[in-house]
Amino acid sequence: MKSILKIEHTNGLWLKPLEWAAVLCVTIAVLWLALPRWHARRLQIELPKDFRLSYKLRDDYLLYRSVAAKVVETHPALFIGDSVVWGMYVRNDHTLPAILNAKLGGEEIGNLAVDGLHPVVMETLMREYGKAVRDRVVYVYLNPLWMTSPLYDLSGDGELVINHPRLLPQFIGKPPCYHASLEDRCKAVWERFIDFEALLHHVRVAFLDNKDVKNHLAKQPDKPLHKQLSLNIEPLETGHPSDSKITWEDASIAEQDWLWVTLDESRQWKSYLATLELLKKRGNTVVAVVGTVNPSMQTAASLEKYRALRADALKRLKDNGYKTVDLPELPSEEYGDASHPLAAGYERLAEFMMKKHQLTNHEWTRIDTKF
Amino acid sequence: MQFQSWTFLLFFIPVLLLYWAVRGTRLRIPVLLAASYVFYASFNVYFLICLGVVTIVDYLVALQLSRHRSRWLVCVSLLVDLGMLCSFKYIPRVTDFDWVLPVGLSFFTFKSISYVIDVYRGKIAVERNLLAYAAYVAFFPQLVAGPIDRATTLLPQLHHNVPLRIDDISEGFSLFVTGLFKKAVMADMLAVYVNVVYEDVTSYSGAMRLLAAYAYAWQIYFDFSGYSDMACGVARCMGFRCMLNFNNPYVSVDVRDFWRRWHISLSTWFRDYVYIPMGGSRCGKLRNWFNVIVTMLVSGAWHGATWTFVAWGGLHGVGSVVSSWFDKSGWYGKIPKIIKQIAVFHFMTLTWIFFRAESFEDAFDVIRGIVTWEEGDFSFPPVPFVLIGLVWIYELTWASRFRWILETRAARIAAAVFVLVCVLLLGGGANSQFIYQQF
Repeated sequence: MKSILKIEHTNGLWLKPLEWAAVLCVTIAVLWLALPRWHARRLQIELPKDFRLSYKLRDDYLLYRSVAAKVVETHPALFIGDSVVWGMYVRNDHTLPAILNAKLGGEEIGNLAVDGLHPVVMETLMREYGKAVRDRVVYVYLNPLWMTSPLYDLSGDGELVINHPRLLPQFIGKPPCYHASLEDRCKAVWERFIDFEALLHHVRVAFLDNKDVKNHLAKQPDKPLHKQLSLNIEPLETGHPSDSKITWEDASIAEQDWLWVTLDESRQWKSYLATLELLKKRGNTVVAVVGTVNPSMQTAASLEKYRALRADALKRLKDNGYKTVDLPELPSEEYGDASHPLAAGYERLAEFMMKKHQLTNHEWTRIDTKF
Repeated sequence: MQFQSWTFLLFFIPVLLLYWAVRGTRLRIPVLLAASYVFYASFNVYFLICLGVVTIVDYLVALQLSRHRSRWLVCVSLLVDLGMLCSFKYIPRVTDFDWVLPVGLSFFTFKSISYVIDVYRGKIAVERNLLAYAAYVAFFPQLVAGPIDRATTLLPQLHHNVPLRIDDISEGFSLFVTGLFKKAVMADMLAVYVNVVYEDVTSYSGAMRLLAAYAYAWQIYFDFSGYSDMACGVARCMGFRCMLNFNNPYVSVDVRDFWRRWHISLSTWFRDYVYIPMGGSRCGKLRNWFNVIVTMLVSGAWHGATWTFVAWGGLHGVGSVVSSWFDKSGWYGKIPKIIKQIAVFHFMTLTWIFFRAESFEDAFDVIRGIVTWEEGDFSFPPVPFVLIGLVWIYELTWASRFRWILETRAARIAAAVFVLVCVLLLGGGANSQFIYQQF
């Protein structure tokens, strides 16, 4: 040791190999293992009526894991999907799960949808952060919009801003249109293994206006860090106080001539099936809910391909033994854009599910016989 | 590929394992060279052209010098090396023609120049192995921002197969973690505060401008010495000893002392290849002062083609001259050491204002705001300044007779845990460039 200490070097942080080993073990055990577990145990999540995860926290996957665990505790059924299920243009009480709950007379179906959750990332979200979703009835929404072109399907190459990039396959099976740096991809993988990294992300998005701790400390001295952090969190969406009444025509969205991919070549479809399989393996009763894409917004050629794809999807799902819900196409004025219904559209879809599939309160154990 | 990035970790671990595996064989130098070129290509593959030109030209010039000692040959080398350096650095400033300055161009060029001049002076034998010479120039831990180790110390290490010890790994790791703390925690946190102020100087109060000036003095120290520590740490893991580049510069008692502690590899380079050839101190007092000031002006101009850098160099030149004059007077020696240290630190902080500011206008805005104590926005982030305080106490203790406290096992372990916790909690985020990479 003497030889080490003799080194004339700025700042004498010199440790022997065994000392470093001890320091690393203790620090890693405390920060990487104990702290996230302590946080998960102490985290108090408030889930009010008509809960859906805040848009602001949509990529806080550590929180999603805790929320999922809490929702599973209190709901016999769950709805998983993208912004169509989440309710892009409506208030919290007008989302599809919320209207179903109102019709069922209680909080039966938990809304675990996340904005932008296309099937490729849904698979990772469920595998890594949705482990609590077991032994429940799970409605898994398929939005065909993700298959309108090879690029959106993530099977083609090109430039695309992809939702939830941290949940994409980063190395093996990386979508060709995903061009993140090696650095970002390493970080994304690391976050899945080390909860401490996900915890830091949680702190950033939940409490620090998306700034990291370092930036917060340097930029906002008037907001001491310890006063910003909390173990009580109410991750309810608050950004949609009223329903939007603007239809896709009001928004002047042009008619689309989508290419559509086939299911055999579709990346999103493969991931959707993998998600269903994963949830089934975890003892869930999986119900595939096949959504619609605004037919009025499409050219005749696009519509023909879309309907063929949708019919093929329903057939394959049934052939694979999955229960399916074949949602009806809505009238043009009930779409806010290509795939998101307005409040009236959700009401119609909920009505359809109640009538056609006879959802009744407190009878989830009988659900196997209903579909 | 920054040292503090995942990409570097993915690069370095296989390289280290491979290097350890071939350490006793003739593959050692080729492996090191290949790793260095891959590392450099990760910034931009075209940068390899510059690296290759400098390497080949200086290798051939040195070979010729071993046969025929000619000043003209040295001039050829200087013309190619400095011509390329100046073209990349200064042409974009004076013309519309814009190109990217290859990362670390100055550093490997200086290494190569020092080798050619040392061969010319007969201080070192010519290196006949092209791969060894290329590995010396491109040695990846030092490639991007130094330290500018001389051929006299690095080439023998390349040839001498030093047995690798587990202590090399722990010592390298110690250096690397220290550097990581300095860069990823301290420098990057201070950069946030400094950038906010310097982006709109006039909006902020005199007090905040003063704090930003202090913060930048520490930011640049943490940034650059952090890089040097990481570079030395990476090299040490492979059994190489790099020269000490920073030695507690903010405990200096005069400006000359500062330059014996700050960026030592560059200051000694300028001393040996600019100051001494001009006559150094072996001439009259006035000529010596002139030599000092010119050397510092050249050093300033090397940092960048703006007059603020030249002013920074000029201030240091004048400061060095005044320091030597103080030294010869009796009264300066009687001033308590701590007072001198504080005074020197404040002088350095003043010079860093010119170094950081985009223009003279900005620099004088900062100084005017401080002197007139202007009103304006003010915020004081306590955490980074508390951390600076802790580091300063640590450095002062390290440089004092109480150093033994820091050498106890308990203190070392406590410091290591503290540093690691800070790195893990605060070290994440974007992997910002090192300040000196742009030079």
